[in-house]
Amino acid sequence: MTAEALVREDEEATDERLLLAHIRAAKGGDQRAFEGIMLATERRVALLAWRILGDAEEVKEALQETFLRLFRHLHRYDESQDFFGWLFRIAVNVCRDLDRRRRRRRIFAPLEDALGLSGKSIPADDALARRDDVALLRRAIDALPPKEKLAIVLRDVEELSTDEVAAILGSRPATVRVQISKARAKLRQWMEKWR
Amino acid sequence: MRDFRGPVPLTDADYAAVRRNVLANREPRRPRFSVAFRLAFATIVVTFAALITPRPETPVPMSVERATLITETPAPTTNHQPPITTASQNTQPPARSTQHAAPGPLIPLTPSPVRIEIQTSDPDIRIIWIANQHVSTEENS
Repeated sequence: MTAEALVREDEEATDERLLLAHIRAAKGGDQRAFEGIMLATERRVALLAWRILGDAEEVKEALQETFLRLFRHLHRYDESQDFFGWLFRIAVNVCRDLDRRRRRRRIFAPLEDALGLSGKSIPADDALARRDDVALLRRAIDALPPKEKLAIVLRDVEELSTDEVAAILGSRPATVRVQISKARAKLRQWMEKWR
Repeated sequence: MRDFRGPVPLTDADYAAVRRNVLANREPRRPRFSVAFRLAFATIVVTFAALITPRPETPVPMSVERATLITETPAPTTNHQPPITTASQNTQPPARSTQHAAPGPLIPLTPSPVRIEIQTSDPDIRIIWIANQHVSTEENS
């Protein structure tokens, strides 16, 4: 193990201890400590929300709502649990609510319908997106059903374990495995179709 | 896969604004009601519900009253003795049995023996006389 790795590990342990101290103080009503929690976690929560929602304004809304819910429910947090896992669960629920609201507002073409489109009817922006695999992948993930989208974002993008994803989504690991498997098959089909 | 959306398009100012909004909009934790208060409230609710819930009326059981023959005769010895009550052997006390009976004369259906109870001034002594009604009718005629 290199010296840099040791220093990094030491810093991470220090950060965790500091976060735990903030959590304990915030439970006691310390406003500065709660601000410290937000500072320590906001970027990770924002990244998760960004990967799920893909809209900057909605990410800000999700971030704010997540911290408001955190403030309301912090007294329920059990220190034996992983704090980020617990916080991600709140964030995913917030993103799910926002996504649901957005889906009600807009009419999305389901992935299956999009897959059935013929090459002649490809709009200009899709033709551009076809050249860009990242854009294609983004579009494909956004077109997945909500549960499959959350499962694939948490498992393949956030690289959490299946058990962690199941805990965050409140599902069984077997259910998550099925959702991920379906989502991957759809993404593969989509990418092959449009490449 | 990790960078399918690219970096988060938020600036430090955005994060600061979010923190400010959270601190400004957070609500104080709602006071938790004590167990005693919850129990008292639940009791009130249950009592109120029990009071306003309409109870189904219990149907009056249909009964066929047996005809009874009740005769009252003055006491044989003195006026201070309680009245003599005569009733058929298998009937209920007159006050209860006549409660739901149809008005009108009571006619014996079967010639059952007449039971006459005489209550003496001593509450521990009661004279019970059972007489065959049919025989006594023939004797009278």
